[in-house]
Amino acid sequence: MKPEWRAADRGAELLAAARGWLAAGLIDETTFGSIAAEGPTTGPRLGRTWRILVFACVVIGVSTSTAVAFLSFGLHEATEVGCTLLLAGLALAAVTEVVIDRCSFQPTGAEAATSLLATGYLCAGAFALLDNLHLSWPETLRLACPWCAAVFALAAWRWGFRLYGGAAAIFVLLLAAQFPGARLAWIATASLLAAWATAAARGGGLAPSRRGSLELVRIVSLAAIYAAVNYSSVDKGLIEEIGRAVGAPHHRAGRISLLLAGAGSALYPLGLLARGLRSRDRALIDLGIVAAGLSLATASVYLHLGPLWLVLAASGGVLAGTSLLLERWLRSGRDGERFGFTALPLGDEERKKILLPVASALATTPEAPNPSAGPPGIAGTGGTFGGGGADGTF
Amino acid sequence: MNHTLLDAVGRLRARGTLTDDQAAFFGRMARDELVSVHPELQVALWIGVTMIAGGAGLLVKENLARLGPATIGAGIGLAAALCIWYVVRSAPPFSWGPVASPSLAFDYVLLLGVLLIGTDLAYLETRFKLLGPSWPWHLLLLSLLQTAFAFRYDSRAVLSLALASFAAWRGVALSFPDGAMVGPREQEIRVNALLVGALFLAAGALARRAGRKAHFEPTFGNLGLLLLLGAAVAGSYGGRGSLESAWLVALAAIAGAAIALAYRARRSDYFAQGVVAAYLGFLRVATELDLHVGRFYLVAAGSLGVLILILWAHRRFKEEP
Repeated sequence: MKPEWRAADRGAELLAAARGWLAAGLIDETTFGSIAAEGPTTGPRLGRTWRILVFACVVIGVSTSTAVAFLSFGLHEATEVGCTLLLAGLALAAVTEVVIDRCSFQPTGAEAATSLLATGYLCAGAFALLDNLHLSWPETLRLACPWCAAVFALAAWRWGFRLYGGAAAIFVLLLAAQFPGARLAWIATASLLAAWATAAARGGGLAPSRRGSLELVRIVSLAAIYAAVNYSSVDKGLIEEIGRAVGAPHHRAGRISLLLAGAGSALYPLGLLARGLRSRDRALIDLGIVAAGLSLATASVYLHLGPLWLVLAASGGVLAGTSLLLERWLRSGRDGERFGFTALPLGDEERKKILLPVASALATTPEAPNPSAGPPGIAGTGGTFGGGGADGTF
Repeated sequence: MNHTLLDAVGRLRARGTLTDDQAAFFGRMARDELVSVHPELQVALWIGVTMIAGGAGLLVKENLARLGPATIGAGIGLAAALCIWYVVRSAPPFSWGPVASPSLAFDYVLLLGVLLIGTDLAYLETRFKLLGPSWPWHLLLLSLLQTAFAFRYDSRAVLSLALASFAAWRGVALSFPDGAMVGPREQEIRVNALLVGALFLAAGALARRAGRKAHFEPTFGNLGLLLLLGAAVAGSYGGRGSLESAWLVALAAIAGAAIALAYRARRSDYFAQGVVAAYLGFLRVATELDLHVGRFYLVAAGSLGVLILILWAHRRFKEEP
């Protein structure tokens, strides 16, 4: 990452934070203007809608051009395809460098598209070349995973796209699952990755996007540990399935493994939550809540806690009720905070607030009637009644 | 700890951009000594409300025979009434302008109440066949009720629901899998979608012009344009293999008008919808041409053309600093 990119990255983070402070009413327009003026000079900025449009256009245009090249030159052999993809990937990586370096307005969406295509082509090229060796799928994965992990890690480090950090971690974990004792290797690798990412992210000189990449590596690794200790995952041997050769017997978990998985499903989310609350680490808190929800869902499947409607309504009631109580409790604290937590928006959360209810409204949109048919029934039709959001599909 | 932010706060304080209090406050945020769980509480509330509504729906479906219609109808009605009672009790006074929610829970309780009313109405209609063969009219009734709630309590989420119910009354589902305007009654549904879309756009324009809930205009406008363009795109692609030129012309006209008007009005969301629809129309034409490899050249050139259009046009639109 070039020094000027790092400076722009830091400026963008400060501007985003200032925008949040403005939205939350913590600063006024004048202060915001001063903060914006003090940052590194940047050109005009493309809004999110535009970036998505540019991204889509570049992805479609470049993919189609690649297809044109394959058809025009009659490339069919795995070696030809692999080499072409590798060359195209390198060319796109060079284009990404140019766009980031030279484009007068940042971000454009084009650099995200070209970098995604570059990493995708470089990984696909490796798979195509390995296809020539007629290896089994686990053997192919053993060779391809380190390459893909390196490509994504390099892309994250060079260009600062956070998602690539997470993708690199996933490929490292997939590699760990290829060896005997897959689950233990998976947990050990994930633990090492999480510890390394946590320690590395503490470094003061990191650019925000690199810190974000490391944060995503940490989240992916901690989520991977949960995936390995979840009861359902152990019961079904999901981790072992990744590296299972075709025709090899399915992994069967022993009683002790299942017992440990039961304990892990219950204790790991609590551990994440406790650690997150103690260190005021939002990522850990969020991960703990999601993991706890998944553990409850697993428990409801295996322990048959009651009819689904009751489980849904009761869990929903508890979740909504707890949230409300928590909000009241936090608001009633001194200056609206307790133990370093507050329910007040400190960023631009209020601007995003409308998205959730609207998404909910559209998700529960009513089913359109067929006027030629009679009124839809309830029982036995798999959910064909509904209106005004009372979705019949349940 | 966010070192970048911490350094920047110190620098801004030294230059006098931030006051001591502000710098101390933002410094606490950067050091993770003060953390907002506002987004987490919102998401938890949203999931909770959705789960309760889903549970109520399942209750009706699974226990119809066992509990009896009166118990189910009254139970859901009571739950809806409780939600609406809370909303009425805590709602701020009515205003034609934007009204801030009095609490985090307000929007979600209102949404839950409206969803439960919808469940109850649909249940009663299905069970007692109050409207007989004209049963889809209960969707109009529901839509009007939801519109009233949306205006009174200033909820764009409930307005979205109202518009979805209205579209459903005319046979158009806004949810993607059910909203396919390709099928045995596609022509009728597409025409209905065009009319409903035009009506929503007109309502949005009226709201903005009259200054009555003018902030609802994007909800009306985006859903309206989505229906108009969706119907035209579906018409262009839904000709059972053959290209229906009338729909393609309609798509070109609607997308062109949307792009031109959005460009003039500096509305990037409408402009983007117009561009995407026009691009889909272009792809439809490209698939129709017998060009073999040339088709790929055409698509690549088209993508480049759209890219140039976007980069040329974006400067007119106001961007965030």
